[in-house]
Amino acid sequence: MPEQLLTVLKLCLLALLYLFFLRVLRAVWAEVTPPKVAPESAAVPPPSKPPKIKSVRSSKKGSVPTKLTVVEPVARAGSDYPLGEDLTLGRAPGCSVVLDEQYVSQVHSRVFQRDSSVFVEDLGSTNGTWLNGVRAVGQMHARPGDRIQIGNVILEFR
Amino acid sequence: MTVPTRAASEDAVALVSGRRRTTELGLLILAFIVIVGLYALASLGRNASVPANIGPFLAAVLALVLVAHLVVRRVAPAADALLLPLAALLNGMGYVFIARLNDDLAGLQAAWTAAGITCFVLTLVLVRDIKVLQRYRYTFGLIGVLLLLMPLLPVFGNEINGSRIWVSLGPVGFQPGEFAKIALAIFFAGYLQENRELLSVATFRLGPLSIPDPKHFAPILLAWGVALAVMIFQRDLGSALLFFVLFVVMLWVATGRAAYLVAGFILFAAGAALAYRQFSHVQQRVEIWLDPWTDPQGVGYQIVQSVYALSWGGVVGTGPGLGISGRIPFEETDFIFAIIAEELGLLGSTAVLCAFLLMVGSGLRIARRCSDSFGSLLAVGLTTLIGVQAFIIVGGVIRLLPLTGITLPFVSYGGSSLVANYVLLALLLRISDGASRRVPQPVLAR
Repeated sequence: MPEQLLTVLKLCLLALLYLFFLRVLRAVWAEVTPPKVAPESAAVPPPSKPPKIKSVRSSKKGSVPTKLTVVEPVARAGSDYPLGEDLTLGRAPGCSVVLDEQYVSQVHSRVFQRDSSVFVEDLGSTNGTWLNGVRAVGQMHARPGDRIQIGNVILEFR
Repeated sequence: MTVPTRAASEDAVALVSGRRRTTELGLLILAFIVIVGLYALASLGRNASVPANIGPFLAAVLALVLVAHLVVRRVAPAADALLLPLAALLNGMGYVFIARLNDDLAGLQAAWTAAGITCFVLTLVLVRDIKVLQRYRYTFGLIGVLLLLMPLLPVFGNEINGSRIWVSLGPVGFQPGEFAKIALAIFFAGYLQENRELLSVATFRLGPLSIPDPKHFAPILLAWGVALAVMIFQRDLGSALLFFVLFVVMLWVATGRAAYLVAGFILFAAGAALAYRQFSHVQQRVEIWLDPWTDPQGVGYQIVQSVYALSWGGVVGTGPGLGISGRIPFEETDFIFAIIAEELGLLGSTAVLCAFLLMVGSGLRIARRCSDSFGSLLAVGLTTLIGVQAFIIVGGVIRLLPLTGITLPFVSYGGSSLVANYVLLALLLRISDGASRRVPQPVLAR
């Protein structure tokens, strides 16, 4: 086989190799640029914003919360619970904050301080503890303005 | 959510899935053409004839590629479209160069590729939701450490080429460390996801420094320490480095604290200095790296030949099958990159690097898109494994780093490496698929 032919074939192969990468790059480009307003998506009404729990950050961001205030249910709104070293929340009479409401477990969750930081921890409740709309896994750091949801009770750190 | 919106979001997912799978099929066909062309050309260069087994080769490659594609289409339709074609291209290129160097290894590598695709399929079919793995994070941590310890067992363990990283089960030898990496990445992702808040807040005073409470570090430090100690004991320095980078990167990504990177770097520098003092083989590696020409026929032989191969390749290479084969020890495994650079030149070896770069890019894009933090962290970890492993070995071959013998993912000869990397790829695709499906559904508090 003449050497020139092999060289030509080799160059063709390299060209083909880079054609492959060109196609890959084109696919990447299609992935990262948002698709143009397609007729399908135009027909779909914009999804109604879910009633998301808003976290209202207080102006003194980064400071340590000192109390828990009930936001919902409205009947109990405004009740304050000062944050101690360790606070348990739940339906059981032994809890530091007794919440006798629907979907609240007996000993539902725990709010505790450690070296001037406040953490929330779910204590294996049935319906979970939610911090700013995210289900708490392990210990979650809480700042003023954060909201926790326990069953149908919503409390805010202040 | 109301019913029409959900239907619409399902339509959107179907649209994305269809587009991605079409892209994947197109790229796979192109990769297939490149591989077969390369195979034919390598044989033409070597024997001046079209290979006798070109028919079966064509059929086998096509079958493997199509099986993988069809399974993805069936069980992970919304997954990323680029990872599989890039892996197929790398694997195919690697196979062609192995076949060109050594016929016996080529047969084995073909069998391992088939095993790799089988494990890829099995992983995709068995792991339907990546969160299942999170539940078994401690189990995976234990499995990872046990796999690392296996080669030290007296009966199974085997020392080959100075590294005690092999286990033989009957006739089949494999490196459990390749699988341990994945298991430990899963453990790290699960543990860090659970404790990221605690690890990112400094609550413990140590003199003038505030550091996170050491007790939350204990399990992860334990796993890391054992793994690192075992790898150093087995003289598997490349894997130890890879593992260290994986650990630091995952901690950094999970907590968002750059201090972990700084601390990791300082620890690494200290560890490297200590290893240099303590182990003669580390000293030797560094000396060869700094000046291989002091003993070009002895210890420096391998790296000197590798540098000659790189320079002999030039810009477009000597042509597949036309290089000088058989002169670099371990050219099918550690030094496959030097062979590719010799025969396909700067352009061909850059293509290999591009493929890794694009894989890392795809992996990180998957991590960003993933709404669930376990999946996201795991994607970062798995991507780091591929990218850093390629960097360490390519850096070693081109004398950017001291040489440490690990495989070039998907390219080098090596059964365990190939199978483990296909499992890793399947996990990335699974995370990507889950992320694309979950996007339209916002997290609700109730």
